[in-house]
Amino acid sequence: MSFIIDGMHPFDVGMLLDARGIAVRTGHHCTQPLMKRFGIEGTVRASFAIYNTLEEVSIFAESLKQIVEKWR
Amino acid sequence: MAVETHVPPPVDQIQEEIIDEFSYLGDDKESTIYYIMELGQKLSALDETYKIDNNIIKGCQSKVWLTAELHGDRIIFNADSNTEITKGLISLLIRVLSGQAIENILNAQLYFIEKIGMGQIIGSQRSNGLTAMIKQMKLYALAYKSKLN
Repeated sequence: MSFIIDGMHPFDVGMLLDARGIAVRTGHHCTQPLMKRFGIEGTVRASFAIYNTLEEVSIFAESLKQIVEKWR
Repeated sequence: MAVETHVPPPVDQIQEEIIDEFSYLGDDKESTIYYIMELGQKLSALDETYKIDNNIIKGCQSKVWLTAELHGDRIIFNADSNTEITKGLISLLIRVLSGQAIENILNAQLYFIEKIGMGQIIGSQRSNGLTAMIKQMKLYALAYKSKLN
């Protein structure tokens, strides 16, 4: 799941999630032409795999919400 | 561009102030990151005309533009970045080094970075970027020194 947050750079969002132990990828993910097409510098990407639990997904969603609210 | 005319305190005094400020944040990584981002917001934005490739610091994952102007024997640094954390990091370097005499910039041992545990906070990639910023500032000092001599 690739996304951007208005007013926050993907790198900053990634660092703040990392501080909570949540690992995401940030940047252009080797899709520079696509990023250029959208006019953005990159995205945050959370990848869900077979070993992730629903609880982890909820923690990620809640953390992201809190991080954005705290910054605004 | 705003030009600082005041003479800043000595490099090490500013470093001690920063160490003191960061000590209040303790080991809370998230609060430290927010604090760095807030510092970044306080950095006055660089005029768009200075955001050119020539002013970009190579070695940074984020975009960082740095300018250096000579005022007597002192250098005024200004910078900007596309991410708040990087802006915060360069704002710390500007706080320590901008307005200092060329010799003091060249001789500065920036121990505050290690003392505040920046490596653990920002990780190895950003630490490399921070090193690139310091290197670029010192290179400017060296270039102005040879120009003056």
